[in-house]
Amino acid sequence: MGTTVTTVEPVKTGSGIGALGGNGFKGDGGPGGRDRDDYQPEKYRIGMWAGLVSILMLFVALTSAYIFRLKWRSQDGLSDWVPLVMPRILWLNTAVILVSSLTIDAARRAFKRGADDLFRRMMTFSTVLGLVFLAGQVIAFRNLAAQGIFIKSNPHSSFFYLLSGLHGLHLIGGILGICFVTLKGIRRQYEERRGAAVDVTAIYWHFMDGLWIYLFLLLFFWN
Amino acid sequence: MAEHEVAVHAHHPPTGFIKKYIFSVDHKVIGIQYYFLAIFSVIIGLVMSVLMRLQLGWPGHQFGFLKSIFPIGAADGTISPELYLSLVTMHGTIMVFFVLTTAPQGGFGNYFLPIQIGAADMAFPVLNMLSFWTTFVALLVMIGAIFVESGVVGPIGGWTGYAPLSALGEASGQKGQTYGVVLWIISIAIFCIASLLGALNFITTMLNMRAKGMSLMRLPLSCWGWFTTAVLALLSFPVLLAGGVLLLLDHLAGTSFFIPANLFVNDKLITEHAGGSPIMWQHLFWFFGHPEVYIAILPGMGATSHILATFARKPIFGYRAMVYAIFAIGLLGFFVWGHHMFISGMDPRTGMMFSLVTLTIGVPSAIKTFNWLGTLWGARIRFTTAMLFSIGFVSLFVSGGVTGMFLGQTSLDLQLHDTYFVVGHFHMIMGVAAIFGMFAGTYYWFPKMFGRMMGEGIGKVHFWLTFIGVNAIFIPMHIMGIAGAPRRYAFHWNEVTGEGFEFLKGIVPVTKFVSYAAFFTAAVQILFFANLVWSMYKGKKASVNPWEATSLEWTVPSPPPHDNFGGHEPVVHHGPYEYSVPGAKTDFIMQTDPAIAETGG
Repeated sequence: MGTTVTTVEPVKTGSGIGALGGNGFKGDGGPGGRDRDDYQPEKYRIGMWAGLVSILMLFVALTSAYIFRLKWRSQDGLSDWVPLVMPRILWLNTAVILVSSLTIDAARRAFKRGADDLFRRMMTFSTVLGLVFLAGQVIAFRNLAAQGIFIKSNPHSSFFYLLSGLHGLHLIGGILGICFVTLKGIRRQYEERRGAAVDVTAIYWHFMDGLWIYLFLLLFFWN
Repeated sequence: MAEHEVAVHAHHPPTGFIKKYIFSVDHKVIGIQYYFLAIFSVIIGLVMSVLMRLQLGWPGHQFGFLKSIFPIGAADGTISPELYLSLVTMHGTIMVFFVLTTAPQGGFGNYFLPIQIGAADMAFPVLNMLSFWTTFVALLVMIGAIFVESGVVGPIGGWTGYAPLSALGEASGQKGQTYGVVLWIISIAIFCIASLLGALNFITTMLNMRAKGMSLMRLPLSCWGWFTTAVLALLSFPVLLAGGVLLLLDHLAGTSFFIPANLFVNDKLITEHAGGSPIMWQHLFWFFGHPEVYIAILPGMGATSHILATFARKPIFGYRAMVYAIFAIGLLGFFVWGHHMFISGMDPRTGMMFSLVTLTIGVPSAIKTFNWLGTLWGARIRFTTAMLFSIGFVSLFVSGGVTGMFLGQTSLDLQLHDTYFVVGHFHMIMGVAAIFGMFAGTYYWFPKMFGRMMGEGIGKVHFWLTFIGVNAIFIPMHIMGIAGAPRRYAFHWNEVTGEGFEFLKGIVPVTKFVSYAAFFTAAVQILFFANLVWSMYKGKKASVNPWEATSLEWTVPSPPPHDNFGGHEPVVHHGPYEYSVPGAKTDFIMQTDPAIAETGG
């Protein structure tokens, strides 16, 4: 969150432009005072953070279900939880998505400087890394399937397929977002609204990165 | 998406029919779409409740028309227990999701939040349109669930869809639990997504789009109601979505999240699933389910506060306390879900904690109630229909809330939980009070939405008959519950066959009375629908500010132009409830009136 507050683009038009926690939240008056057509980048940030809160709640709920199910014992005191052996490729996937966070941040900074070529290259690079990550996840799925471990095999495998699958779906959304802002970025020069779009895409991507690391730790290192 | 936004922000009114009325991005059109979606749904829910009351009042009697509507479910002219349970389920589901969640928030909130804060539209108009159409798809899928299985009108597990029955599918051996429950879960999952998109939009709009001078403490209380509701939706719907995904996997993919080991159902041992916990579903469901109660009622509280002050011609009593109380109710609402599960075998110490927090909600609720009474105290009240419904809201909120104090205590809940006491309680507070909030909103805001006044005389008749009717339905239910009448049963005592509970023979007349009251109340709603439709075309033309109210929606024409304020942004100088200010020329000061002397909020 801190990064977004400190990375407000230079203000081009209007007044009262602030990042999350800026004017939009002021108690002594609405932001007001701008042209009706004026663009308000902070609304994209507030909207994105609200969206991320809801995604967070989805995974919080699933985490509580995970812990509940892990600790649950049937009446005879037995648990049917069989821990999965982690597919080794998940280490690689984790590294890939970590690097993609660095590249998308490089892209964001390049965009702000107006370094269009670098922006495009870094965005493309991030997209490729995202796809590599997804491919890696699919390899992990196939790896488990080859051992005869499917979603219904046992609770741990159910949660693994479910959580990584839901994360993957959200990541696909992120990839579409990257493609969208990159293609727009090619056609147009720097613009404030494009800056906000790039910013919120990067925020979303970082969140997906953090979410995966969290899920990785939860699924394989938490007991 | 950003590309679309540009066009929207330029605010050229759309010209084509489809862009203007169907796939409109105008928050006002979307608000009306939500409102009519709720009206359509409420009619389905109402018809279902009438059928249920017919069965409960006269079990075993044969009604020819039932045979023609339900050739399988009521083959001999009486509603079968499965059909009855599916009616219970769909009545609850449709009313909770597609009426109580959509109309107060999606309908009135969408229409009036932007105008009341002085914005030209919601923060994300295209997203707003998507929210509505996603909700619409959810409704279509839910209606699909009514028709996919013969003999029933949907799943039979109640709106709570308790596992393991809801997770088993065919193995449960029950009608409605195969395709019916799959569509039911999918519909609710779609509805969750729609609500999340809407909530995100409301939050952003209120934080970011307020006009100059519209400080947080100058917002009408209705805005605080909608905002808090949006926050609750944002935090609770993902949890239901998570539960729904798990339930669907249990149902379709063979997982065992909610299905326990050694389950014996339908004369056979379930061997495909093992080791899950049905209690986990209850936790996930009620973590959503309790905030959902507030999602239904908080917009009504906001609208009621707004309307009470308008027609009491007095500032709302304790504005800040009202805002903080709304937040307190919303916040506490996240820590009380266990009170729906007291009989699940929960640790008594846990139950104690849930009980304490539950009773604590009485404090902010009482703050609101006494502030409403304080607003009315010594006022020269204008008894319009909207005002009557607002006062009715306060009344129902009290009678429904006080029984919550009973049920919030573990020892009493153990006795009352599966009885009609609970049915009476939640209908009073979540059902009827919230509906009264909607009626109040309709009578109050109709002139702004449609440019014509609603019939006041017929409206008052509608109020009194409805108010008497709902009390006649739901107060006896509490007594039936204390007498031990279990809920969700297709009958208590069947006079024709002599089946049922001997000890409940005595309440048969009460049951019949409740049924008569229900038919009466349902029939009275025809007055409302007739008034609504008639006034839309033939009502008296509404002026800009027919109620002499102060907030921003009463500064713009009725109905407002496409961008609400005709291209300029209002500047706000006053709080929302400056009525009867000493020394002022009129007994109300508009929020936009130039500040002569800052009177504060």
